[in-house]
Amino acid sequence: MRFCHGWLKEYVTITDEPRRVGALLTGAGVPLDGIEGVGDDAVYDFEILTNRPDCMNHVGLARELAALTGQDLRIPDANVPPGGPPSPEHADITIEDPDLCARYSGRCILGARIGPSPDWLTRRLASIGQRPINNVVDVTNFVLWELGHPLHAFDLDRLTDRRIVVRRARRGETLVTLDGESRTLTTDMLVIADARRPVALAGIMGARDSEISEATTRILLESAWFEPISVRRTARALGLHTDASHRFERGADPGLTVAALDRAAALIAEVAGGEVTEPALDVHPRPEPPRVVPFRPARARQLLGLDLPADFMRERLIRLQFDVREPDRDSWQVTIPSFRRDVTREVDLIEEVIRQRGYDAIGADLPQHAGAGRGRSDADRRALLARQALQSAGIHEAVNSILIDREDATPFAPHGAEPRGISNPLQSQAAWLRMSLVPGLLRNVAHNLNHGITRCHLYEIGPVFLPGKKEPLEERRLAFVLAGQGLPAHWSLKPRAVDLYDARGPVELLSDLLGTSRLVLSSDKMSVLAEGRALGISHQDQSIGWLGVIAPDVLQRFGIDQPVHGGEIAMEVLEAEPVATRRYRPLPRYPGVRRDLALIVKQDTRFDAIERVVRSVNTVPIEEVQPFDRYRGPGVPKGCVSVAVQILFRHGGRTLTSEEVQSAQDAIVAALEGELGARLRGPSRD
Amino acid sequence: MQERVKTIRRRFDRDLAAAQSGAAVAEVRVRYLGRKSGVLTTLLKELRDISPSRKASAGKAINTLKSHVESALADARGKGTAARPAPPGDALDLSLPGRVQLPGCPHPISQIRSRIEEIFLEMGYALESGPLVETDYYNFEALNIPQYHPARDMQDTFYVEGGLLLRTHTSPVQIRTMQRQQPPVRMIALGMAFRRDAADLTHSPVFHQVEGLAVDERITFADLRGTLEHFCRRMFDRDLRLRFRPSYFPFVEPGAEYDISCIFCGGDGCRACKGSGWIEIGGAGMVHPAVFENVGYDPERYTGFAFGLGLERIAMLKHGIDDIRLFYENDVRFLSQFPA
Repeated sequence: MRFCHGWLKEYVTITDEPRRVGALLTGAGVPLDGIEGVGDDAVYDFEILTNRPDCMNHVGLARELAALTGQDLRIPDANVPPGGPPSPEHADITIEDPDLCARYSGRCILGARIGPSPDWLTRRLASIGQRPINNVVDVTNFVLWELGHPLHAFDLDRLTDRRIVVRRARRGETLVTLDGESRTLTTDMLVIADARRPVALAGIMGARDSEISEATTRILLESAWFEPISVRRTARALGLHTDASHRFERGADPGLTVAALDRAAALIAEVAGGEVTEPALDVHPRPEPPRVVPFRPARARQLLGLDLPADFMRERLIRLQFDVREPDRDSWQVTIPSFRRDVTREVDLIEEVIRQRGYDAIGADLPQHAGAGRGRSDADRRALLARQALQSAGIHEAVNSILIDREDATPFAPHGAEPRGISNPLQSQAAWLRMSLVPGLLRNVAHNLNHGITRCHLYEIGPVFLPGKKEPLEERRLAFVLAGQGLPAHWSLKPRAVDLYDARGPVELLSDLLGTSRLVLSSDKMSVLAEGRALGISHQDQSIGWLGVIAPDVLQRFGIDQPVHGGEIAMEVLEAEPVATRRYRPLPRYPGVRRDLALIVKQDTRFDAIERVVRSVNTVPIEEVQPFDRYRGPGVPKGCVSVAVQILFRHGGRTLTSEEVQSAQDAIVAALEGELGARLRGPSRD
Repeated sequence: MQERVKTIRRRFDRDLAAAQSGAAVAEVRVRYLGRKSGVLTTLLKELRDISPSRKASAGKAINTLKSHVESALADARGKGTAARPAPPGDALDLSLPGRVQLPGCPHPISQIRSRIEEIFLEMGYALESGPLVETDYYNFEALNIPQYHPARDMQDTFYVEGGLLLRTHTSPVQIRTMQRQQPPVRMIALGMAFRRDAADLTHSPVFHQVEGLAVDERITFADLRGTLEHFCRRMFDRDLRLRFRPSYFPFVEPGAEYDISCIFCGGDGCRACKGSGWIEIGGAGMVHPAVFENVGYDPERYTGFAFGLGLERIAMLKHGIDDIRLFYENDVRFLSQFPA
């Protein structure tokens, strides 16, 4: 909001340079955004906080400055020329809705000549970027920026029966506002009407057909106080925001209506001629008693942690035009001026005194110790482990918005579920709550691939939003996507593309790190995953996620034309498990014996089946069964695959003999033959 | 047989490569050449049973394998431990980059988040959280921002179907925490928040905030200053100064914004601080008694402070990032710049 240095000096003596004034006010809660020009022509841009409508004008800001510097505040006199015609003979004011209009004051100016404003007035307005319109409107505008009270000037001759009725709009009533828009009103909107029709939206904007024109000679000047919420609702409903509504919404000063009216009437008479009617009509059906707020200096000191002297607090409150009574040294009675609607409680007065002193007078301390903290929760510690697992697998963390495109969300939605929408989105690509983390990550993959990145491994941990009764169900998930190269580029490594085992590995590592009952991965079918490349992830028989190769038709929608592996896991079950303490297993005291078996099996025989058969032979304890080669090609019959397996036999209590190992091995081979039709690749069977 | 020999050879090469010590090499020797049950010994024994037509080729393959195994083992022993110099002609290019399994990088926002959590956990604060899809009550009403309050203009809101909204700040977690527990309270809450602002260099409709709250008997504004001073100094690893300016947030009174002395110029004035010597960090203040009343705390007995700040802003300041949108593109070239 713009303020002119020279204009401020009309109301308070300023000895400081504009920069210093800006700093002073910033320190007191009126932040300076910038200054243009120098000396009296300097124009400040202050940000006036929403709770300080009283500072949205030059006198109000001068009041703050006067309190800070100890100078006197000079409020301009109205000087209405005496002896004007009687007001009641020229206009009649009725408030039908005192709840929404607590006060309405008015005067008429008869015989005014509408024309351009004198220089001093246009210069003042121009200094803060206001465009001159005509002498009457310019005066109301000037008083708005001087005293802060919004005024409205009606052409009295266009008011039917010269009546003002403050009432709610009737059903279906319309009004063409000053901006030329026709507005259809509703019955909760307050209007200013004449005997017949609405002539203004109360506190927001006047109607075109009652505004001042060059032909106007008789004026009715309005200075009223409207209920903030009502003004705000109406302005919002009609999409209007004006200088007047901005102030009424935040709370204008009901005590100022007559003073502002008189000031403007006198100025109109000065710049446009005419007679001002006497006295001011002032309908005030709902006067507010002055608010008295108790104030304890000791409480202020205690809350601030600063030893402010009582004299300082009293003096500054008085400079800010609070009335301070001290029936008791420790408990004051402070009467709040009508322009300070933001001050309602003791803490508000405490803020007033510390604003005056400057917040930086307060020293640094620390709160008393409040007992041992709880530290991180188990769930949190487990989420950190999950991050560790994915990062140590070389996957970068991504963070995405929870707002996505509906079409992106659909393929990954649980069966038949609809995503929850945003009622007022900024754009359709961010209008729905995600039901999976994967769409966001696929968007990231597309971005990376489009920028020539050859290895894009990303994970994310965050909430998804599933259908719930009233609120959507927020579920924490972990998801990852792997695209492009499997390994980081290195001179010693042969490049290869990501494969399914790159996607499986991180999940296995996660299971190990979390130390929960193992995550079980088993073949599955899913619409978002390619056929034969889908694994379900379960934990204690509960399905908690999936991994695999994303189906090409899904990728197409994201503009990705190369394979992407990925997976998603619900974290809740994993986070809910108690953090496992790892038990020590004694190191082996006796040597183990390793045996390698090269098997020819049907190509759909899975390793977990082989392992199960191997372990089913328990004549000698088996410590480990590891696959170490998988081979197809010359020497392996069609439809078959060669799988090489290493078995580690170890007994806890003695050294195994080679005979017993051999007989166990023979039994294993026999079992594999019997159950899986496997045969050993050996010379005897060549 | 040929295939089997190949498999064994592959397996041997792998085992030998993995053997890092003399003892390990010896173990590999026993496993393959051991007289009793060495892999090759067994293979040679099996040769006896093979049909004569194939014996010759099989024998040749096994012998080739055997000589490979023997010479490789001899080489390995020759190299022995690291102390022995490498033979000439086998010089390594010592300037080539080394090999390591590169870990993935935590997102810069996560890193800032962890750091903030650490600093406050050390001070005994609890980490709290709340839903992102909130009700009007928790996001506004309980925080002393009633319907049609002009302060709602400062927080343009995304509304969610079903009469809900996306939280515009992390402050609702204050309310949820106070409803759950009696004082003393020391908590922070970190997470996403949303404002219906078009994205530009410094604004994003999605961003991250941290909210702090301490409630007890006799908490003062000086405690707030001390806490934030400690936090900011640890966060930026500098002995910086703090400045408080009066400001307005309906849920605190007195309310403030706080700045740190510029971390680039130390307060002399530079481009980063627009010559002011100060950098804006966040909002803070003493908990408004109306908020205490809303959660059933006695505002006469208890006082408290609350503060907030944006994580993106901290990350941008710390790393010199000039476009907030980079945080949500997840470009690998960006993410990998922050290994930890």
